[in-house]
Amino acid sequence: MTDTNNNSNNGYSLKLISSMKKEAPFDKIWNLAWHPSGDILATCANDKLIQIWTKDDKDNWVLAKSLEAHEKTVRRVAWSPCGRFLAGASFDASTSIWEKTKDQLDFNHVSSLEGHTYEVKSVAWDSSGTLLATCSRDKSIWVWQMEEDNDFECLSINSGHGQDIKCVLWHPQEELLASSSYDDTIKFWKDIDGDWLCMYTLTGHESSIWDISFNKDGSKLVSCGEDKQVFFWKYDKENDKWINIFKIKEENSRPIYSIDWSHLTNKICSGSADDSIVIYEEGTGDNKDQYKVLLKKEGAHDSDVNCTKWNPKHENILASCGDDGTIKIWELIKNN
Amino acid sequence: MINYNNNIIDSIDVFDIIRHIKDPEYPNTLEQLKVVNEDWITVEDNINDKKDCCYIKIYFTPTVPHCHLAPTIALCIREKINQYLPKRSKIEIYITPGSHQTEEEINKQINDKERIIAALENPEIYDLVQKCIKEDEY
Repeated sequence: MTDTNNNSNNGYSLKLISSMKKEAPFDKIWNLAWHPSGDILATCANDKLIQIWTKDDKDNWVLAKSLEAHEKTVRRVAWSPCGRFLAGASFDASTSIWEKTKDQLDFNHVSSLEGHTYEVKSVAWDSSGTLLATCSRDKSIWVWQMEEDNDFECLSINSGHGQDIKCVLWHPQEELLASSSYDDTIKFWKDIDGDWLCMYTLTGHESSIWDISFNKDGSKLVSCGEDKQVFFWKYDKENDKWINIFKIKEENSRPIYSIDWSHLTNKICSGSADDSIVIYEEGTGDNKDQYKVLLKKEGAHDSDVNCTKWNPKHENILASCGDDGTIKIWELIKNN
Repeated sequence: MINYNNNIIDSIDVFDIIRHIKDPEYPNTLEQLKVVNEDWITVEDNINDKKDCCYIKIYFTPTVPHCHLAPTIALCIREKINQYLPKRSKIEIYITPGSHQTEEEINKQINDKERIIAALENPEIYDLVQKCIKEDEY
Protein backbone atom coordinates (compact mmCIF):
# COMPACT_ATOMS: atom_id res chain seq x y z
CA MET A 1 0.00 0.00 0.00
CA THR A 2 2.76 2.40 0.88
CA ASP A 3 5.37 3.01 -1.72
CA THR A 4 8.18 4.87 -0.05
CA ASN A 5 10.29 5.18 -3.17
CA ASN A 6 8.21 7.72 -4.98
CA ASN A 7 5.64 8.28 -2.25
CA SER A 8 2.94 7.56 -4.73
CA ASN A 9 -0.35 6.16 -3.50
CA ASN A 10 -3.54 5.70 -5.51
CA GLY A 11 -1.96 7.89 -8.16
CA TYR A 12 -1.38 10.68 -5.66
CA SER A 13 1.80 12.03 -4.16
CA LEU A 14 2.69 14.59 -1.54
CA LYS A 15 5.29 17.00 -2.81
CA LEU A 16 7.35 19.04 -0.37
CA ILE A 17 7.22 22.68 -1.37
CA SER A 18 8.94 24.34 1.51
CA SER A 19 10.54 23.51 4.83
CA MET A 20 11.27 25.92 7.65
CA LYS A 21 13.23 25.06 10.74
CA LYS A 22 13.14 26.80 14.06
CA GLU A 23 16.48 28.01 15.32
CA ALA A 24 16.57 25.80 18.37
CA PRO A 25 16.65 22.25 17.06
CA PHE A 26 13.99 19.83 18.20
CA ASP A 27 11.76 22.44 19.73
CA LYS A 28 8.33 20.94 19.67
CA ILE A 29 6.06 22.90 17.36
CA TRP A 30 2.61 22.05 18.63
CA ASN A 31 0.21 23.74 16.30
CA LEU A 32 -0.18 25.96 13.27
CA ALA A 33 -2.95 28.04 11.75
CA TRP A 34 -3.33 29.47 8.26
CA HIS A 35 -4.44 33.08 8.05
CA PRO A 36 -7.76 33.25 6.13
CA SER A 37 -5.84 34.81 3.22
CA GLY A 38 -3.84 31.58 2.91
CA ASP A 39 -0.57 33.52 2.73
CA ILE A 40 0.47 33.71 6.38
CA LEU A 41 1.09 30.97 8.92
CA ALA A 42 1.05 31.23 12.70
CA THR A 43 2.80 28.55 14.75
CA CYS A 44 3.30 27.94 18.46
CA ALA A 45 5.82 25.87 20.35
CA ASN A 46 7.32 24.84 23.65
CA ASP A 47 9.71 27.81 23.45
CA LYS A 48 6.69 29.89 24.61
CA LEU A 49 6.58 31.83 21.35
CA ILE A 50 3.92 32.39 18.75
CA GLN A 51 5.62 32.89 15.40
CA ILE A 52 4.42 34.33 12.12
CA TRP A 53 5.71 33.02 8.82
CA THR A 54 5.21 34.40 5.35
CA LYS A 55 6.72 34.49 1.88
CA ASP A 56 9.50 36.92 1.02
CA ASP A 57 9.97 38.65 -2.38
CA LYS A 58 11.63 35.54 -3.73
CA ASP A 59 8.69 33.36 -2.75
CA ASN A 60 10.58 31.68 0.09
CA TRP A 61 8.78 31.08 3.36
CA VAL A 62 10.53 32.98 6.14
CA LEU A 63 10.03 33.88 9.78
CA ALA A 64 8.42 37.33 9.96
CA LYS A 65 7.60 37.86 13.64
CA SER A 66 7.97 36.28 17.06
CA LEU A 67 5.25 37.16 19.55
CA GLU A 68 6.15 36.90 23.20
CA ALA A 69 3.52 36.92 25.92
CA HIS A 70 3.51 33.54 27.57
CA GLU A 71 5.46 31.95 30.39
CA LYS A 72 4.98 28.37 29.26
CA THR A 73 4.33 26.28 26.15
CA VAL A 74 1.83 27.75 23.69
CA ARG A 75 -0.37 24.83 22.71
CA ARG A 76 -2.69 26.17 20.02
CA VAL A 77 -3.20 29.23 17.84
CA ALA A 78 -6.32 30.40 16.00
CA TRP A 79 -7.07 33.30 13.63
CA SER A 80 -10.41 35.05 13.78
CA PRO A 81 -12.46 34.49 10.58
CA CYS A 82 -11.72 38.06 9.39
CA GLY A 83 -8.00 37.51 9.96
CA ARG A 84 -7.61 40.58 12.16
CA PHE A 85 -7.12 38.74 15.44
CA LEU A 86 -4.93 35.88 16.52
CA ALA A 87 -5.43 33.91 19.73
CA GLY A 88 -2.85 31.74 21.50
CA ALA A 89 -3.71 29.18 24.19
CA SER A 90 -0.94 28.48 26.66
CA PHE A 91 0.02 26.06 29.39
CA ASP A 92 0.51 29.17 31.59
CA ALA A 93 -3.31 29.09 31.98
CA SER A 94 -3.88 32.23 29.88
CA THR A 95 -4.98 32.95 26.32
CA SER A 96 -3.37 35.88 24.52
CA ILE A 97 -5.19 37.94 21.90
CA TRP A 98 -3.24 39.78 19.22
CA GLU A 99 -4.46 42.34 16.72
CA LYS A 100 -2.79 42.46 13.36
CA THR A 101 -2.21 45.88 11.83
CA LYS A 102 -4.14 46.41 8.65
CA ASP A 103 -1.58 46.24 5.91
CA GLN A 104 1.50 45.03 7.69
CA LEU A 105 2.60 42.07 9.68
CA ASP A 106 2.71 43.88 12.98
CA PHE A 107 0.86 42.64 16.00
CA ASN A 108 -0.37 44.31 19.16
CA HIS A 109 -1.03 42.27 22.25
CA VAL A 110 -4.54 43.57 22.99
CA SER A 111 -5.82 41.21 25.64
CA SER A 112 -5.02 38.31 27.91
CA LEU A 113 -7.85 36.00 28.94
CA GLU A 114 -7.35 34.75 32.46
CA GLY A 115 -9.53 32.42 34.49
CA HIS A 116 -8.58 28.85 33.80
CA THR A 117 -6.90 27.10 36.72
CA TYR A 118 -4.51 24.96 34.69
CA GLU A 119 -3.09 24.69 31.16
CA VAL A 120 -5.26 26.07 28.35
CA LYS A 121 -5.13 23.49 25.59
CA SER A 122 -7.23 24.88 22.81
CA VAL A 123 -8.87 28.06 21.56
CA ALA A 124 -11.38 28.61 18.76
CA TRP A 125 -13.33 31.50 17.19
CA ASP A 126 -16.89 31.02 16.04
CA SER A 127 -17.88 31.74 12.42
CA SER A 128 -19.07 35.27 13.26
CA GLY A 129 -15.77 36.11 14.95
CA THR A 130 -17.46 37.44 18.09
CA LEU A 131 -17.36 34.34 20.30
CA LEU A 132 -14.25 32.61 21.50
CA ALA A 133 -14.04 29.27 23.31
CA THR A 134 -11.12 28.07 25.45
CA CYS A 135 -10.65 24.75 27.24
CA SER A 136 -8.26 23.46 29.85
CA ARG A 137 -6.95 20.66 32.02
CA ASP A 138 -9.28 22.14 34.66
CA LYS A 139 -12.08 20.28 32.78
CA SER A 140 -13.95 23.47 31.91
CA ILE A 141 -14.82 25.27 28.69
CA TRP A 142 -15.12 29.05 28.80
CA VAL A 143 -17.12 30.93 26.20
CA TRP A 144 -16.02 34.53 25.76
CA GLN A 145 -17.70 37.36 23.89
CA MET A 146 -15.66 39.99 22.19
CA GLU A 147 -16.90 43.47 23.06
CA GLU A 148 -15.87 46.86 21.79
CA ASP A 149 -12.34 48.01 22.61
CA ASN A 150 -11.10 44.42 22.40
CA ASP A 151 -12.61 43.57 25.75
CA PHE A 152 -13.65 40.00 26.37
CA GLU A 153 -16.51 39.04 28.64
CA CYS A 154 -16.88 35.51 29.88
CA LEU A 155 -20.43 34.42 28.99
CA SER A 156 -20.33 30.95 30.41
CA ILE A 157 -18.20 28.32 32.10
CA ASN A 158 -19.20 24.85 31.02
CA SER A 159 -18.33 21.73 32.91
CA GLY A 160 -19.40 18.28 31.89
CA HIS A 161 -16.26 16.54 30.76
CA GLY A 162 -14.72 14.28 33.40
CA GLN A 163 -11.11 15.05 32.45
CA ASP A 164 -8.83 17.46 30.54
CA ILE A 165 -10.36 18.95 27.44
CA LYS A 166 -8.00 18.64 24.51
CA CYS A 167 -9.79 20.55 21.79
CA VAL A 168 -12.66 22.98 21.19
CA LEU A 169 -14.06 23.82 17.77
CA TRP A 170 -17.08 25.78 16.55
CA HIS A 171 -19.49 24.51 13.94
CA PRO A 172 -18.68 26.25 10.63
CA GLN A 173 -22.13 27.85 10.39
CA GLU A 174 -24.10 27.52 13.61
CA GLU A 175 -23.48 28.70 17.14
CA LEU A 176 -22.70 25.15 18.18
CA LEU A 177 -19.50 24.22 19.96
CA ALA A 178 -17.79 20.83 19.92
CA SER A 179 -15.19 19.66 22.44
CA SER A 180 -13.03 16.55 22.73
CA SER A 181 -11.47 15.20 25.87
CA TYR A 182 -9.09 12.97 27.77
CA ASP A 183 -12.32 11.32 29.02
CA ASP A 184 -12.60 9.68 25.56
CA THR A 185 -15.78 11.59 24.57
CA ILE A 186 -16.81 14.41 22.28
CA LYS A 187 -19.51 16.81 23.50
CA PHE A 188 -21.58 19.46 21.75
CA TRP A 189 -22.66 22.65 23.50
CA LYS A 190 -25.34 25.18 22.65
CA ASP A 191 -26.71 28.38 24.14
CA ILE A 192 -30.26 27.66 25.25
CA ASP A 193 -31.82 30.81 26.73
CA GLY A 194 -28.53 32.03 28.10
CA ASP A 195 -27.24 28.70 29.43
CA TRP A 196 -24.72 26.69 27.49
CA LEU A 197 -25.99 23.13 27.67
CA CYS A 198 -24.41 19.87 26.61
CA MET A 199 -26.57 18.68 23.71
CA TYR A 200 -24.86 15.49 22.63
CA THR A 201 -22.13 13.18 23.93
CA LEU A 202 -20.32 11.00 21.41
CA THR A 203 -18.66 7.82 22.65
CA GLY A 204 -16.60 5.27 20.76
CA HIS A 205 -12.97 6.33 21.03
CA GLU A 206 -10.93 4.16 23.37
CA SER A 207 -8.64 6.89 24.67
CA SER A 208 -8.05 10.67 24.64
CA ILE A 209 -9.36 12.48 21.58
CA TRP A 210 -6.68 14.88 20.41
CA ASP A 211 -8.35 16.71 17.56
CA ILE A 212 -11.64 17.20 15.71
CA SER A 213 -12.67 18.87 12.45
CA PHE A 214 -15.98 19.65 10.71
CA ASN A 215 -16.63 19.25 7.01
CA LYS A 216 -17.63 22.37 5.10
CA ASP A 217 -21.36 22.45 5.87
CA GLY A 218 -20.91 21.05 9.37
CA SER A 219 -23.02 17.96 8.75
CA LYS A 220 -20.07 15.71 9.52
CA LEU A 221 -17.24 15.64 12.04
CA VAL A 222 -13.99 13.70 12.07
CA SER A 223 -11.99 12.90 15.22
CA CYS A 224 -8.66 11.26 16.02
CA GLY A 225 -6.88 10.21 19.15
CA GLU A 226 -4.47 8.40 21.36
CA ASP A 227 -6.19 5.12 20.36
CA LYS A 228 -4.67 5.50 16.84
CA GLN A 229 -8.16 5.62 15.35
CA VAL A 230 -10.05 8.04 13.14
CA PHE A 231 -13.82 8.27 13.63
CA PHE A 232 -16.27 9.84 11.20
CA TRP A 233 -19.54 11.19 12.63
CA LYS A 234 -22.66 12.49 10.95
CA TYR A 235 -25.58 14.52 12.20
CA ASP A 236 -28.78 12.49 11.99
CA LYS A 237 -31.39 15.23 11.60
CA GLU A 238 -34.40 12.97 11.97
CA ASN A 239 -33.36 11.65 15.37
CA ASP A 240 -31.45 14.77 16.39
CA LYS A 241 -28.23 12.99 17.23
CA TRP A 242 -24.67 12.48 16.00
CA ILE A 243 -23.87 8.97 14.88
CA ASN A 244 -20.62 7.19 14.09
CA ILE A 245 -20.67 6.31 10.39
CA PHE A 246 -17.14 5.09 9.77
CA LYS A 247 -13.91 4.32 11.54
CA ILE A 248 -10.34 3.74 10.43
CA LYS A 249 -7.95 1.84 12.61
CA GLU A 250 -4.56 0.26 12.12
CA GLU A 251 -3.41 2.87 9.62
CA ASN A 252 -1.16 4.53 12.19
CA SER A 253 1.12 2.70 14.63
CA ARG A 254 1.11 5.55 17.17
CA PRO A 255 -1.33 8.19 18.44
CA ILE A 256 -2.89 10.57 15.91
CA TYR A 257 -2.54 14.16 17.06
CA SER A 258 -4.26 16.15 14.34
CA ILE A 259 -6.98 15.98 11.78
CA ASP A 260 -8.27 18.58 9.33
CA TRP A 261 -11.14 18.44 6.86
CA SER A 262 -10.59 20.60 3.78
CA HIS A 263 -13.47 22.93 3.00
CA LEU A 264 -12.12 23.33 -0.54
CA THR A 265 -11.57 19.73 -1.66
CA ASN A 266 -13.39 17.68 1.03
CA LYS A 267 -10.21 15.69 1.64
CA ILE A 268 -8.96 15.00 5.14
CA CYS A 269 -5.37 15.09 6.40
CA SER A 270 -3.96 13.73 9.65
CA GLY A 271 -0.65 13.81 11.49
CA SER A 272 0.63 11.12 13.82
CA ALA A 273 3.29 10.26 16.39
CA ASP A 274 4.47 7.63 13.90
CA ASP A 275 5.91 10.60 11.92
CA SER A 276 3.47 10.17 9.02
CA ILE A 277 0.85 12.27 7.30
CA VAL A 278 -2.22 10.44 5.99
CA ILE A 279 -4.73 11.81 3.48
CA TYR A 280 -8.28 10.42 3.43
CA GLU A 281 -10.94 10.68 0.78
CA GLU A 282 -14.72 10.46 1.01
CA GLY A 283 -16.55 7.92 -1.11
CA THR A 284 -18.94 8.94 -3.88
CA GLY A 285 -22.53 8.04 -4.78
CA ASP A 286 -23.87 5.41 -2.39
CA ASN A 287 -20.57 5.36 -0.51
CA LYS A 288 -20.66 8.92 0.73
CA ASP A 289 -20.37 7.73 4.31
CA GLN A 290 -17.27 5.69 3.59
CA TYR A 291 -13.70 6.84 3.66
CA LYS A 292 -10.46 5.48 2.37
CA VAL A 293 -6.80 6.23 2.70
CA LEU A 294 -5.69 8.09 -0.37
CA LEU A 295 -2.06 8.41 0.59
CA LYS A 296 0.27 7.79 3.47
CA LYS A 297 3.47 9.80 3.64
CA GLU A 298 5.84 7.94 5.95
CA GLY A 299 8.61 9.96 7.56
CA ALA A 300 6.90 13.27 6.76
CA HIS A 301 8.79 14.69 9.74
CA ASP A 302 11.81 13.38 11.68
CA SER A 303 9.60 13.04 14.74
CA ASP A 304 5.95 13.23 15.87
CA VAL A 305 3.71 15.18 13.51
CA ASN A 306 1.68 17.42 15.83
CA CYS A 307 -0.44 19.35 13.37
CA THR A 308 -1.63 19.21 9.77
CA LYS A 309 -3.78 21.95 8.22
CA TRP A 310 -5.16 22.52 4.73
CA ASN A 311 -4.64 25.93 3.23
CA PRO A 312 -8.02 27.75 3.27
CA LYS A 313 -7.51 29.48 -0.09
CA HIS A 314 -5.25 27.32 -2.24
CA GLU A 315 -6.50 23.83 -3.06
CA ASN A 316 -4.43 20.80 -2.10
CA ILE A 317 -1.81 22.80 -0.21
CA LEU A 318 -1.25 21.79 3.38
CA ALA A 319 1.12 22.68 6.19
CA SER A 320 2.47 20.43 8.93
CA CYS A 321 4.67 20.83 11.99
CA GLY A 322 6.18 18.54 14.56
CA ASP A 323 8.58 17.69 17.34
CA ASP A 324 11.50 18.06 14.91
CA GLY A 325 11.05 21.84 15.09
CA THR A 326 10.16 21.96 11.42
CA ILE A 327 7.25 23.43 9.52
CA LYS A 328 6.61 21.94 6.11
CA ILE A 329 4.37 22.99 3.26
CA TRP A 330 3.15 20.27 0.93
CA GLU A 331 1.15 19.97 -2.25
CA LEU A 332 -1.08 16.99 -2.90
CA ILE A 333 -0.57 16.10 -6.53
CA LYS A 334 -2.51 13.77 -8.77
CA ASN A 335 0.00 12.00 -10.99
CA ASN A 336 -0.67 11.46 -14.65
CA MET B 1 30.43 5.09 30.11
CA ILE B 2 28.12 3.12 27.95
CA ASN B 3 29.56 1.52 24.90
CA TYR B 4 27.12 1.69 22.04
CA ASN B 5 28.09 -1.05 19.64
CA ASN B 6 27.47 0.02 16.08
CA ASN B 7 25.16 2.67 17.46
CA ILE B 8 22.46 0.09 18.01
CA ILE B 9 20.64 0.62 21.26
CA ASP B 10 19.52 -2.39 23.27
CA SER B 11 17.77 -2.96 26.59
CA ILE B 12 21.09 -3.11 28.46
CA ASP B 13 21.96 0.40 27.28
CA VAL B 14 18.60 1.70 28.40
CA PHE B 15 18.81 -0.11 31.73
CA ASP B 16 22.25 1.35 32.35
CA ILE B 17 20.75 4.80 31.95
CA ILE B 18 17.79 4.34 34.27
CA ARG B 19 19.11 1.95 36.95
CA HIS B 20 20.76 4.72 39.02
CA ILE B 21 17.75 7.03 39.07
CA LYS B 22 17.00 7.83 42.69
CA ASP B 23 13.57 7.12 44.05
CA PRO B 24 11.74 10.42 44.75
CA GLU B 25 11.01 9.24 48.31
CA TYR B 26 13.71 6.84 49.42
CA PRO B 27 17.50 7.21 49.44
CA ASN B 28 17.79 4.20 47.13
CA THR B 29 17.99 3.79 43.39
CA LEU B 30 15.21 2.34 41.26
CA GLU B 31 17.34 -0.75 40.70
CA GLN B 32 17.88 -1.28 44.42
CA LEU B 33 14.16 -0.96 45.07
CA LYS B 34 13.44 -3.38 42.19
CA VAL B 35 11.30 -0.74 40.48
CA VAL B 36 13.12 -1.28 37.19
CA ASN B 37 14.66 -4.38 35.68
CA GLU B 38 16.51 -5.04 32.47
CA ASP B 39 14.05 -7.80 31.56
CA TRP B 40 11.15 -5.35 31.57
CA ILE B 41 12.68 -3.20 28.84
CA THR B 42 12.26 -3.84 25.14
CA VAL B 43 14.03 -1.85 22.47
CA GLU B 44 13.52 -1.88 18.75
CA ASP B 45 16.31 -0.16 16.93
CA ASN B 46 17.41 0.00 13.34
CA ILE B 47 14.08 -1.28 12.07
CA ASN B 48 12.67 -0.47 8.64
CA ASP B 49 15.83 1.43 7.78
CA LYS B 50 14.96 4.02 10.40
CA LYS B 51 18.45 4.44 11.78
CA ASP B 52 17.91 7.69 13.62
CA CYS B 53 15.24 6.66 16.08
CA CYS B 54 14.66 3.77 18.44
CA TYR B 55 11.48 2.55 20.07
CA ILE B 56 11.62 1.80 23.78
CA LYS B 57 8.98 0.14 25.93
CA ILE B 58 9.50 0.02 29.68
CA TYR B 59 7.49 -1.59 32.46
CA PHE B 60 8.18 -0.50 36.03
CA THR B 61 6.92 -1.73 39.39
CA PRO B 62 6.03 0.89 42.01
CA THR B 63 7.27 -0.01 45.50
CA VAL B 64 3.71 -0.15 46.87
CA PRO B 65 0.38 -0.61 45.02
CA HIS B 66 -0.83 2.83 46.13
CA CYS B 67 2.43 4.69 45.40
CA HIS B 68 1.40 8.28 44.66
CA LEU B 69 4.76 9.07 43.09
CA ALA B 70 4.44 6.52 40.27
CA PRO B 71 3.85 9.31 37.69
CA THR B 72 6.98 11.12 38.92
CA ILE B 73 9.05 7.94 38.58
CA ALA B 74 7.79 7.58 34.99
CA LEU B 75 8.77 11.20 34.29
CA CYS B 76 12.26 10.56 35.68
CA ILE B 77 12.70 7.49 33.47
CA ARG B 78 11.52 9.35 30.37
CA GLU B 79 13.54 12.49 31.05
CA LYS B 80 16.73 10.62 31.83
CA ILE B 81 16.55 8.61 28.63
CA ASN B 82 15.87 11.80 26.66
CA GLN B 83 18.91 13.45 28.22
CA TYR B 84 21.37 10.57 28.14
CA LEU B 85 20.54 8.37 25.17
CA PRO B 86 22.64 9.57 22.23
CA LYS B 87 19.80 8.89 19.84
CA ARG B 88 16.25 10.04 19.34
CA SER B 89 13.70 7.71 20.87
CA LYS B 90 10.00 7.13 21.23
CA ILE B 91 9.27 5.87 24.69
CA GLU B 92 6.26 4.07 26.12
CA ILE B 93 6.18 3.54 29.87
CA TYR B 94 3.72 1.32 31.69
CA ILE B 95 3.16 0.00 35.18
CA THR B 96 3.85 -3.73 35.50
CA PRO B 97 0.37 -5.28 35.27
CA GLY B 98 -1.14 -5.85 38.71
CA SER B 99 1.34 -3.70 40.63
CA HIS B 100 -0.76 -0.59 41.20
CA GLN B 101 -4.31 0.13 42.30
CA THR B 102 -4.93 2.74 39.59
CA GLU B 103 -2.78 1.17 36.90
CA GLU B 104 -4.88 2.15 33.87
CA GLU B 105 -5.29 5.73 35.03
CA ILE B 106 -1.56 6.14 35.56
CA ASN B 107 -0.62 4.45 32.28
CA LYS B 108 -2.80 6.94 30.43
CA GLN B 109 -1.37 9.91 32.31
CA ILE B 110 2.32 9.01 31.97
CA ASN B 111 2.07 8.53 28.20
CA ASP B 112 0.01 11.66 27.48
CA LYS B 113 2.26 14.04 25.61
CA GLU B 114 0.61 17.22 26.91
CA ARG B 115 0.64 16.05 30.51
CA ILE B 116 4.34 15.14 30.27
CA ILE B 117 5.35 18.57 28.94
CA ALA B 118 3.08 20.41 31.36
CA ALA B 119 4.45 18.47 34.33
CA LEU B 120 8.02 19.34 33.39
CA GLU B 121 7.05 23.02 33.09
CA ASN B 122 6.05 22.93 36.75
CA PRO B 123 9.19 24.14 38.60
CA GLU B 124 8.74 21.89 41.64
CA ILE B 125 8.25 18.75 39.57
CA TYR B 126 11.10 19.74 37.26
CA ASP B 127 13.50 20.24 40.17
CA LEU B 128 12.49 16.94 41.74
CA VAL B 129 13.00 15.09 38.45
CA GLN B 130 16.40 16.68 37.88
CA LYS B 131 17.45 15.80 41.42
CA CYS B 132 16.42 12.16 40.95
CA ILE B 133 18.12 11.69 37.59
CA LYS B 134 21.37 13.48 38.43
CA GLU B 135 24.34 11.13 38.03
CA ASP B 136 26.48 10.91 41.15
CA GLU B 137 30.10 11.72 40.65
CA TYR B 138 32.33 8.89 41.68
